[in-house]
Amino acid sequence: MAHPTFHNLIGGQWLPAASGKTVLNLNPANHADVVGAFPSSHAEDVALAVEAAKRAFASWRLVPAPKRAEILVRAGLLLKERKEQFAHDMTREMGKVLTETRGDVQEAIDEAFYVGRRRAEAVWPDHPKRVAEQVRHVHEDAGRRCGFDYAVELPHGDSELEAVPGTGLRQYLRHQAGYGYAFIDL
Amino acid sequence: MQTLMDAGLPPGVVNLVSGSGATAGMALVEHPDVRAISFTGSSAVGALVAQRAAALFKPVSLEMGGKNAQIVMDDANLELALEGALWGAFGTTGQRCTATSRILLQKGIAGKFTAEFVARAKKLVVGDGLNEAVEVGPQVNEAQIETSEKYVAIALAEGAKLLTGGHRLTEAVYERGYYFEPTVLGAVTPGMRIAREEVFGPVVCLIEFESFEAAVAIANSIDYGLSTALYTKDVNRAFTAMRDLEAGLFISMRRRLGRRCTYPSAG
Repeated sequence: MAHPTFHNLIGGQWLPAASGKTVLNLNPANHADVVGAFPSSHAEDVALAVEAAKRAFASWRLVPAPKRAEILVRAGLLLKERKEQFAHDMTREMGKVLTETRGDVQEAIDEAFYVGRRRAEAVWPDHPKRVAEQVRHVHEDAGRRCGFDYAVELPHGDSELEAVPGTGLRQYLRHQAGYGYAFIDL
Repeated sequence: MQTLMDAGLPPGVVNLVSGSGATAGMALVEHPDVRAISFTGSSAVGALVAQRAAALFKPVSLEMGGKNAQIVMDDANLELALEGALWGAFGTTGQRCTATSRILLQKGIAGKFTAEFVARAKKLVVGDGLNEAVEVGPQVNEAQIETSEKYVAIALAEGAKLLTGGHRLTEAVYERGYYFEPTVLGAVTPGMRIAREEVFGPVVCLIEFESFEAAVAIANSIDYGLSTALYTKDVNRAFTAMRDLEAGLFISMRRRLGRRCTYPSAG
């Protein structure tokens, strides 16, 4: 029976292994059902992928976190649309029952939204030529006042990532506790 | 991968190379431009990755195997404990790093729990996961079936009792797949290999204990430390367990399938 041939993804291109070799992936529920032929890759293919990653990193490293977050959230939305298709493909490939593969895809959706939204809300610059730093200045009186009331909230990772678009009251409290944000254009 | 590209991820930020660990995997670990390694797989291969990465001064993150215990105390809600054990052990056909592969039973409920657990395991519907009525799918390949067979034989040779399952399924609808019966082994003691080594299949062993302290000691007596669950109505005991169990994940009164993205996985 005819089956599809899958490729490596290198630099945005779907490419066969340099050797041209493939391995068959069989449905474990019925090994007469060939899911597809997959590349049997070696060091040469890995080197091409690493080179592509290096090239991409030069510009990707400057993409601000909120822009990256947008991509993640979009990916989450697409995963949601494609959930049934992916669950079906995964069951055929690895045998897990559909309720489990649906859960698997849902975890990816949850991760995409969770990380994407956290990053979108974070104290990150929104432009490649700008840095934002969270700076803590210790004010003795503020420290005393907030040490009890906000001992949990302020040191918590979430609150450190959140913030700039916070409410006036929240910003005031943060300022009182000694947190400030510096935005610097490069 | 296509979804990430469709979402706007620039070319080259994520790349995918399919191949065996010995060739493609090790080439990636050793490539001079790769500065850190994240690996998910067996403990044996994880050790190789860590050794090679250490020689190259590369940081590694390893997510490997488990021999995860579910502890059931005499005061537990047995219905919850049975439900948790059944899906913890046989969900994903036991092929999951966090699968329940040891069920530790306090002596007061051991008999009742065992009888009901075995009865429910026998009723599980095994088959093609694409069929919505199926509860337990196949193992992933022939090698995994052989591993399950091997460990059942080892357990029986060491004195364990086969309470249900223990064999591959080959008749009729199972003829063309890699199916193994949901398997429960009783009379297991903590020193047996079946109580210490990962099977990665639908094979679970039952171990009895007298006291909570003994259960913690048994749970901690293995080389793995991934995930442990406790079923009890005693909240003080739950917090003591959380402190004393040597596992990255501790779960009280809940089966150990899946996780939440809001907290770290494993240990």
